[in-house]
Amino acid sequence: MEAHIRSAERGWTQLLKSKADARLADLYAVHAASAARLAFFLTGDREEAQDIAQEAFVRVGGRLMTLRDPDNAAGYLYRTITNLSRGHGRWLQRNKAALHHPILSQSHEAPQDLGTQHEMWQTLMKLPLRQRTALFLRYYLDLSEADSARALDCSVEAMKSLTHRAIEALRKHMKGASS
Amino acid sequence: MTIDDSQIREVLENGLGSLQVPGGIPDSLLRRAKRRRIATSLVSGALATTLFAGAVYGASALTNNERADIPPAQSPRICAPEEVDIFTDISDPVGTGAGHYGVLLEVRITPQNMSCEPTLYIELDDSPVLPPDHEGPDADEFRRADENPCLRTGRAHGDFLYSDQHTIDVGTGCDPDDPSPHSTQVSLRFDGKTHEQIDDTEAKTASELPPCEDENSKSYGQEPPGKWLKDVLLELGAPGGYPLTEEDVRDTGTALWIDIPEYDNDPTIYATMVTPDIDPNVPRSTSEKEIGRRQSYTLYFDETDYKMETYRAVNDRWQLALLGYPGAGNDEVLWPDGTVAWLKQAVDIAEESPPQCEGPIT
Repeated sequence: MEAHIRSAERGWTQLLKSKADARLADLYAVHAASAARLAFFLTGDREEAQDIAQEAFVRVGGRLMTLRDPDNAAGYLYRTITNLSRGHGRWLQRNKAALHHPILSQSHEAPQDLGTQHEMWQTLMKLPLRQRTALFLRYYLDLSEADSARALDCSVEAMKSLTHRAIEALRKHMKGASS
Repeated sequence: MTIDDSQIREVLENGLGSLQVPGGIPDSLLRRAKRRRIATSLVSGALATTLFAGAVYGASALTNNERADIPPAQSPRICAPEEVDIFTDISDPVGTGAGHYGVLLEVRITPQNMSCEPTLYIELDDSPVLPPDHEGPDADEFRRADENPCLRTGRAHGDFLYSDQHTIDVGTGCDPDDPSPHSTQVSLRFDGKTHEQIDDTEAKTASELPPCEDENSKSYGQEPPGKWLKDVLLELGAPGGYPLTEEDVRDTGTALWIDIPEYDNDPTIYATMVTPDIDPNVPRSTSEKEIGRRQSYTLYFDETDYKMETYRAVNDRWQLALLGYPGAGNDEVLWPDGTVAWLKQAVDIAEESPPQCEGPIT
């Protein structure tokens, strides 16, 4: 009997593995770019962002078939990226580099806009990671408040609060900078 | 100054839009994800979703002077472990408190042939035990002591959670992302006795009622928390109103571990546990802020970076605690709302329901 059970478990395991691979590939196809960009937004380092995004996919892939909310794998992915970015221990140093973002300096915007954008970028990079993630979900991925909250595994009210605090901080800083 | 949504979008677009990402999913990523699934799925079965609170912390590398018994093989060589022996030195285990158990883990791999400098990797409970050249805070968790590529002998002094079963996934390979063809899964039982191959391992059954103890000498640092606390928790349920089942509460001998569904997707919060009072010998950081007995407090261990939120029983003999593990990269563990209140409630109920016991008073 025990052998039967083990055999069934192995078969089930194999089945889940192949399904997990397919689901991970699907997840990657849809979210690879945004995952890397979120990681970059949180770390300010391109190579680190790629590494973190890959590691996050590995972690999600490892649990894909046992997630409590399988339909929210992307949310789990984004939360993992946020956690990985936070925990690396060198994010402050990375942020220093990110304050001088090369993309912005290469922008073709008018100088005045460039200055404002650069200032905004600097301020964004100083926000707490969860606030940054919230802004990324709401304003870069254009997710609704409800979907953003689900992705971050928090209430809609908490998402509103995160976004509000981020924008307030941004506004306050920009006001101070312009005066 | 006003900032509208479009400005934020524009800054984000400009800042992030140029980041290029490879098209298809890399094979290495699939393999790593698959490898990550292996250990857990083999041990617990795909039908089980038991959360396992295992961690390796603060390990110190030890030098091993053993030299290779087998000389380096000649080309052509491949990386393939012929034997994998895992030894645990449990002759003098060090209790480090909070349900942890210090053991020495020695892994010896004897590859058949070598075509390259192999990468030895070890995963404990689905978490990599990192090699010493890994840059990061866990760099010293495992150190190869023998530089002979044909024999990898290493020792890790890990601070393991005392549990009935751990899974060690050991492998060698030239591609650090793909050592799985040569990996071996071994199940260890840190019950002070044995380590066994996985197929021979049987799950440890939950403990029965603890023997009755002399109230005056009662010390839950010595005895398991017992079934009575388990019953309390089953009655109360998990934070967030989730019901708990027998399977959700695991008695590991020194602590009850509770899988909290609400935290299932949060890699930083591993478990809730009932433990004896913290080992006073465990060094604590200065950030500990103990408000007073029966008060919730938070402490961090200097060496491990655990975050624990505990609530002590009035008898000061046991406590409920949340354990957060920042190993997933989160150095800021935040308990969901209501969790600490749940801890207090559980303690109150437990105190109103004295422990049941079996057998003569010891």
